[in-house]
Amino acid sequence: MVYACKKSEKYTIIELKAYHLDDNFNKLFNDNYERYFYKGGSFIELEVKLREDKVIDEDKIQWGIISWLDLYSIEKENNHEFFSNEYSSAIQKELHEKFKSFPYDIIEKKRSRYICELPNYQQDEPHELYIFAYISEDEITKYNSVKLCINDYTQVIIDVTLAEALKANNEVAQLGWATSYVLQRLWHDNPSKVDSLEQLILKNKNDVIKVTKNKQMKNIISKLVPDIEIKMYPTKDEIEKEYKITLDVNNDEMIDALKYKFYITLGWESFYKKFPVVQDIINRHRSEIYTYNFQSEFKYFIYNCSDSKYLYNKLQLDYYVIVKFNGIYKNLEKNHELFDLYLQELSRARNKDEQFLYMIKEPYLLNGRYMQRFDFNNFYFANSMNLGYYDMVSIDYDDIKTKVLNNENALKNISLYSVTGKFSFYFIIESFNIYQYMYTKDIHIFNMKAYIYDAFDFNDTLGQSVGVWDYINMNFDILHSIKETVYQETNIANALVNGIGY
Amino acid sequence: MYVYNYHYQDYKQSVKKGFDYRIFSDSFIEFKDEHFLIDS
Repeated sequence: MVYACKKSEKYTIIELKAYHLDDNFNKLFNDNYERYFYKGGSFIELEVKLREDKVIDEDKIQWGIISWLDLYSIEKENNHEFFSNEYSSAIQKELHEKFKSFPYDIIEKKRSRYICELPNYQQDEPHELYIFAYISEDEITKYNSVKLCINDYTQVIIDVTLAEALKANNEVAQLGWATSYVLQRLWHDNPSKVDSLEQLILKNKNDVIKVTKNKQMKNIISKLVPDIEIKMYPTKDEIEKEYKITLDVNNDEMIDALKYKFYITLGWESFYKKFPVVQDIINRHRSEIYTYNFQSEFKYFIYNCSDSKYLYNKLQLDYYVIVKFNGIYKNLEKNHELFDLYLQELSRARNKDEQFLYMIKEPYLLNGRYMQRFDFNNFYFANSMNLGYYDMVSIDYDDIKTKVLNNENALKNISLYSVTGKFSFYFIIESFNIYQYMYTKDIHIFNMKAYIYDAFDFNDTLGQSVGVWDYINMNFDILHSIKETVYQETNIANALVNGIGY
Repeated sequence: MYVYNYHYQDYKQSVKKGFDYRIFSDSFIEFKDEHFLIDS
C-alpha cells in the first residue's frame, strides 16, 4: 500500500491509496510499507479519502495516469521536488498534457473505493506508472498519486528490502537492507543503456532519498547509509594520457578490461567492517590466503621480476611492489605481468605506466587485479547465517527460521547478503623482505593491501542468484535462498533440491 | 544476474537488461607484519 497526504487548513485533501486485492495480507502492512509491485491481471483497490470534515463529492475527483519517465522529466525540467504534489500552474499544464485517460475498468465503485482490474500486460513487459487523483476547488488543484510497477518483478525485491529495513531490530541490519535498497533503486530506476553520467536519472544516495516516499526509510538512509555515488571509469583516452600507454582497441582482452563504464564504492569503515561475517574473514582465514598455490606463484613472481638478481644476493633488503598499469589495462593475469618489485635503495627511473602500490589510494584503479583472492561464496554466507550443511538440504523451515532469527549476527549478515550476494577479497602484497632458512625462504610482509570487489553483470546469462524473496510475507526467504545456493554450488545438492520439488 | 521472487506461490526469475557495474571498497584494508614460507 502506498499513499501520500498533504495537510492544509483551507483546501480539500486527497489521500490516495492502492491495495492488492488478490492476496491476504495487504492491509496488515498498510501504514508501514511502500509496495509498488502489481501483477498484470490483478485486481487493485484505489481508495480516495478527502479530509474528514468534508463531504466527498466524487464527481469532482478526476484521474490521470502518466509514465514514470514522463513524470520524472517534467519534474526535473521544472526543478520540482519529487512527490511534493504541489505543482505550479506550468507543471500542471504539462502534467495534464501528458496524462493519459484512465485505462482501467472500474468494476466496482463504493463511495471512495474504486476496484479495478489491471490489464493483462505481457509478462515480459514491465510498466511503471503513476496514477493521479486530483480535485479542483476554488481554483486550487490538489493532487496525489500512487506508483504502480506492473509485471516489474525486480520491484518485488525493492519492496521487500524496504520492508526488511523497517523491520530490522539493529542498526547493522538496517544499514545492510537500506544500502541494498539504495543500490537497487540506482540500478532499477535508471535507463538500461547509458553511456554517461548525464543520462542517469538517479546518480547517488541523495537522489534515492528524494524518490523514497516512506519517511522512516528516508531517515534510515540519511542516518545510516554511507555516501553512494555512481562514478565513471577513466576512458581509453584518459588512460592512455595518464599512463603513456597505447591500448589496442582490436584486442579482445583489452576491450574486456574497458567495457565497464560505471563503478560504485562502499565504505570499508562505514559499511563492510560493521558486519560480523566480514570481521570474521579478516581475522580467521589467513591460511586460505597463503595457500600452496599462492606460495608457488609468489616464488615465480620474485624470480621473474626486474630485480630478481638482487633477490639472490641481498636477501635482507626491503622490496616494494610496483603496479604496471600497462598490464592492468591490457587485462593480463600473471603476477609478473601486472606487478614488479623494486628495491628501495635503487633510484632508477620508473616507466611511465608504473606506480608504487603504496602510493595508490583507491582500489578501483587496480581494475580488479590481484595476487590472491578469497571468494566469499554462498556457503560462507550460509555459515554466517548460523546454518550448516544439513540445514541447507533441510526442508524444516521452522527449524531454519529459529536458527537464523534467534542469532543476532545471522540477522546482520543476511542484510549484507542482500547487498552483495557473493563477493571477493583481493590481496596484493605491498612491501616485504626475505630471510633464508635452510631450504626455505621466510617472506616477511611489512604491509599487504586488500580490497573488496563485486561484479554486477545484468547482461550475462550465468544466472547468479541473489536470493529468493517472499512477497506474500514481505520477507527475504531464508529457506529457499539457501536451497537456491545449494542448487548452484553443488551437483549433489542440485539433485536433492530437485527432489524436494519446490 | 538473476534474482528469484517467491510470488503468489510461483517462482519468477527476473532479470533486467541494465548497465553492468562494479563495486569496490572505498579504501584498502591493511595487513601488517605477516609471514609465509616458500621453498628455495
